[in-house]
Amino acid sequence: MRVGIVCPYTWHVPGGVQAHIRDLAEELIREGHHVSVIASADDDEPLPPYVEPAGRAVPVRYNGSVARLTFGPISNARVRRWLREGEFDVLHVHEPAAPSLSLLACYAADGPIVATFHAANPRSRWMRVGTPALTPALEKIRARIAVSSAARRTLVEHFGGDAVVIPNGVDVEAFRGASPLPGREPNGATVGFLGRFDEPRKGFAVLLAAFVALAPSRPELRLLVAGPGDAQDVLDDLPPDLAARVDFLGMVSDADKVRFFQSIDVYVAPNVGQESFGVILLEAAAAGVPIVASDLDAFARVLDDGVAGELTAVGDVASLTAGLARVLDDPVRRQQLRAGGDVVARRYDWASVAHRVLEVYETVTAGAEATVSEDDATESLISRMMFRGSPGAG
Amino acid sequence: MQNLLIVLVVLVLLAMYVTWTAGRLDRQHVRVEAGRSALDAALVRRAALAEELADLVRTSGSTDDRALAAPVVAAARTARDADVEGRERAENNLTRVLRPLVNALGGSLRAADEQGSDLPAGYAAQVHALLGQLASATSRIGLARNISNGAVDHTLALRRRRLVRWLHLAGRAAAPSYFEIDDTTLADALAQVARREP
Repeated sequence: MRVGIVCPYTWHVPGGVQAHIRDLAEELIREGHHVSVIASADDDEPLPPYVEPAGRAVPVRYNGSVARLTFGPISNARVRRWLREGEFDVLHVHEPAAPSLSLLACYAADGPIVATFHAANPRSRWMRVGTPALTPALEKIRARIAVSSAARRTLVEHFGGDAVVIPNGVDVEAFRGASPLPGREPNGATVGFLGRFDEPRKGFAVLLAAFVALAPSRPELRLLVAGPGDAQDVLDDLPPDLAARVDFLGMVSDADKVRFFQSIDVYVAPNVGQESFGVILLEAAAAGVPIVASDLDAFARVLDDGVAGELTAVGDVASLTAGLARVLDDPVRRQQLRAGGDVVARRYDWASVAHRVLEVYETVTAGAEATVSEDDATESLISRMMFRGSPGAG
Repeated sequence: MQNLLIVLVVLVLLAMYVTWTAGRLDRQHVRVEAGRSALDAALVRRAALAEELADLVRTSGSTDDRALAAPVVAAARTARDADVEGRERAENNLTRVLRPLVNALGGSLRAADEQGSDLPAGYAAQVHALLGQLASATSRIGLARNISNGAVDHTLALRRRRLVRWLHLAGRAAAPSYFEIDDTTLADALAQVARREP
């Protein structure tokens, strides 16, 4: 099957959606399908052979964080050319409800279109004001996939209709058998956190408070933090003896992320809201690291209601302190959590996820009259009126 | 003169908008057709597999299983021959008679595994394979139903628009209807049988 996938965000910036698309594309290619991904990226950037660059992205505030999006005449022309030359059986757009390359592709294409919705944000201003303008593009989508029940609920509340829930996958084998980061063997009491620690919704402040509470009675306790943010800000607020026990790795590459999990003894996800799935939990579980996580709907579901991770009250320092202490002090509990995590990680293995996505492709193409083509109506209305003679077109 | 120009521009824009909306509506009708035919294919496949399974059980299964298989053969044939109005009822009926057969076969397969049985050689493997195919056909129905009803949703929303109603943009195309059947209870039963397999 010939599959065209649209990635709405900049390819080289690490993110859940980008990783999802990469893993899906590579799994489909492994199974013998033809896959082309179009993503915003500079022309001179090194890209995998299956990725087509659609031009540079501009930063836009969306859903509490900054997303880098591509939207404009040059991208429009490139998407249209990619559609014409790709001759896809199915077009798979991701997160088409944001003003992005995916939305452009929806306007530009006609035929079997599948869309995956990632975000779970109950109050997105963009979705509210944007809905009338989005409808003509979104109604072209033949099948909708949501990566979680929360994402499905968001979608249904904003646009009506329904969606099939297919959760994210994780490449279990990649997280097995890695070696720790150089010079960072776990000491039996190293707690890990990965993500933008200066973004309030990630809940790092809650973890830090729990760490401060536990550190005096546990001299071995260390905190290892990976992800972008201003480390000095955090260290300045800590007493010097505690600051020495917190290490910041900065942003880590995918390869180093795999090794990061081998450098820690417990992974903590203290998020305080707006998480639709939590791929990071699956990665920690695949790596065999016991997990302590906030009791968010999405997290509780992924972690089998506490079988695969110690759940603590959202944003509650005392609850996280107690939960973390329980896991740190009890080797039997850690072993239980590892075993539970193993079951969960295998369930979400990419091979099984890709198989379910293929089922959706097959269902939309089964009754379809033709392959994906350019939409002549939007070509005449939008492109001809707005984008005529734009530089770089064609 | 100027007024005439404005009127002309408005008329041209309106005409473009109407044409575009008609195009959207046409595409939705195409999508409904495609969704419905994918759903049809999935339902036909389930009926065919159900009949094959029931035929196998009727000739080679245990006495108890044979009794459960007989109504499945009849229901599968009715479902395949059903017209548009009778389709949902016929498919629900097939689900209703398939469920006990699937559960019973799960039990017989397990019993044969544990204590051996006098059933013909290869029978268990055949039943097992058919149950697997039936499970995938049933999950396909859920998917196709979801997709088809999504298309109906969008089409009806568009047809309810004032512009579309006043100008009869839908033409003679009949308003599509939702297709609701109970396929999930059968999917659950099949998943349970599959889980019990070693």
